Amino acid sequence: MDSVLIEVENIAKHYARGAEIVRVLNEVSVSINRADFVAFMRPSGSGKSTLLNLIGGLDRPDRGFVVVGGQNISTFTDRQLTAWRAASVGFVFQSYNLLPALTAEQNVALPLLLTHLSRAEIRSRARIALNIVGLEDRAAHRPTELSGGQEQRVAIARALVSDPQILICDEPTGGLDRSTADKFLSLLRTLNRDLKKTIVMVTHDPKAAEFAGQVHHLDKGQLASAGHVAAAQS
Amino acid sequence: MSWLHLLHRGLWRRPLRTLLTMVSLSTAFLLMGLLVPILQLFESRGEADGIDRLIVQPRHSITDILPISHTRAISDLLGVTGVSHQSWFGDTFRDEPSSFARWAVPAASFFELHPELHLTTEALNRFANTRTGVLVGQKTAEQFGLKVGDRITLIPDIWLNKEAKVWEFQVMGVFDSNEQSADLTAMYLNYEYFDEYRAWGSGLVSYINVGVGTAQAPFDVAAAIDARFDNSADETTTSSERDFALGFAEQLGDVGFMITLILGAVFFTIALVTANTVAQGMRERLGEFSVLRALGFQLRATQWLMMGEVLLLVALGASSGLLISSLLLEWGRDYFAQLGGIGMNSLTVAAYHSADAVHRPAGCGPTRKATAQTLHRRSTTQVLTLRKL
Ligand SMILES: Nc1ncnc2c1ncn2[C@@H]1O[C@H](COP(=O)(O)OP(=O)(O)O)[C@@H](O)[C@H]1O
Ligand SMILES: [Mg+2]
Repeated sequence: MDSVLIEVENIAKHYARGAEIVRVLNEVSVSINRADFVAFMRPSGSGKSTLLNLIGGLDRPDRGFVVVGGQNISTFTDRQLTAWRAASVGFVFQSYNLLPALTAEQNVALPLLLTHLSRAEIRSRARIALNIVGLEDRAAHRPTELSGGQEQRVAIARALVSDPQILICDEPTGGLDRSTADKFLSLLRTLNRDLKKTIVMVTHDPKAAEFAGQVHHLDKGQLASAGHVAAAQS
Repeated sequence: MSWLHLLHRGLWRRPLRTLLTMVSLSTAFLLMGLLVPILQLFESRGEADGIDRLIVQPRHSITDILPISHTRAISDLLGVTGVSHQSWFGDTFRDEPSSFARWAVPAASFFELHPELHLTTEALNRFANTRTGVLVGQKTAEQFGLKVGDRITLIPDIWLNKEAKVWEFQVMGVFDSNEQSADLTAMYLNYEYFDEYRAWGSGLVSYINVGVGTAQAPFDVAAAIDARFDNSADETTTSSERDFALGFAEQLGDVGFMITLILGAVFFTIALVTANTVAQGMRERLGEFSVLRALGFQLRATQWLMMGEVLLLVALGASSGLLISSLLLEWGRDYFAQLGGIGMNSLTVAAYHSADAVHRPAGCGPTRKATAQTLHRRSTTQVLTLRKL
């Protein structure tokens, strides 16, 4: 059961900001098992999002590589990487990033446009995903007609709808109040436990980290410490 | 949810902006839809296809006049199958000087040469045998409620009557036509009577109409006519009727060039406005497109979505504009068909009047005097001059 799904090996990433070079990640290695729920913690600007982008195939490392399910995605072309993302990862961002012109259901259905499913099938799958996050009755609502927590659940449904192995969540509770955030985190935990989704989350909310089975502390361009959170609950 | 749906939702994300952009595109295409047929018309100049009639005018000034003796000389030329002429008879009818065209024509030859004008043999005979007879077009008859036997009085403003203050006529018949180029507002009076009673200008005509057969190329005949009068006191310019009418329109300027210029300017402006609006919209939505990229949409796909939106916008704007223009053209078909077919219709008459106004004051003395008299009389008397029997 403890099979490794994501293997991050000695990756380095820097950004050029004018003449200055910002070394965000330096010799970072992480490994994440299948069906793990992992939280990366630490202050802003420490490279959490950068790491997530590399794991999720939104970007490529300068050095090192990211192996997911035995595939070295760091060697993929942009086309391959994009296709891989469509099949393997679902993203949940802090700012939800729903398309304002689309209804909740249409937003959820978006990734399915990349499949060969019929319109009816797309519709029914989008409904199922909305059902999982408890928003089936909000299918026809626009993002502006939803609360922050509901928007974030729509975002989760969108991330789930193509049934990817991995969910990547970048400060998913950053914009939510405590109780909404807790409900959202419980949902993530359920998805992890019941649907065996591998969840990689970054957050600087210690409470959010409690929901994860494992917390990594990133600091100053290194992965500073790692350890299982004993308190990962019931 | 489908790609088309996504495209559509993106396009209407800001409905007002999209609508305004679409309306300006639509307007540009509407203008194009209306102007291009006219442009094509002007580009059809010099086409020999289907030409069976030529029109001869003075070479040097369109308000000059030709001697009637030219008609005999022309009828001797090779390829000429018939000759007639027409003379502009302006004057005031019910205080509406340019409501319809009035021409003095020789009864027999004119209607023989214009078989598209339908009227009964009796009407034509009555007209030919009644010196003060006139034939009116069906539209004018309808507009003024004229019928056979009605009397018409015209107050001279160019052609003074030697023996009376006014010209008195009587309706001998109403003519009709199936051809859209025919001017059903026109009125024809007997040239012979007109020529005898006018105070000056006897023996002169405005235009000479020439019928051409198929034996000779029409433009060869035209060239032969003009060559015949080269170096005479009354040199001519001969063209097909359509080119003649277009020539009138061109008195107002190089119409084709103006249309091209207008359309060019409109499309340039609209293209800039649209491009700017679209670019602004895309900039606002770069975030959305990167979300799509994160979800696994290929770069190509997002580029196509952007392109697709622009194409959809342009397609909707263009098709609505062209649709409206074709509806308008359908609605105003009579007018445009006249433009296309061309006889001595309202367009030519309008052009004639504008040209006339420019040329005449510098021209012949009697005309100027007559005009001054009319103006004077019009300001002192109320002019209503139709009496019914
Ligand atoms: N595209 C980029 N170009 C330049 N600098 C960047 C870029 N993305 C992130 N950075 C910089 O890299 C550092 C780490 O960013 P990030 O990974 O977003 O940190 P975190 O998510 O932990 O706040 C920050 O200093 C940020 O300004
Ligand atoms: Mg971040």
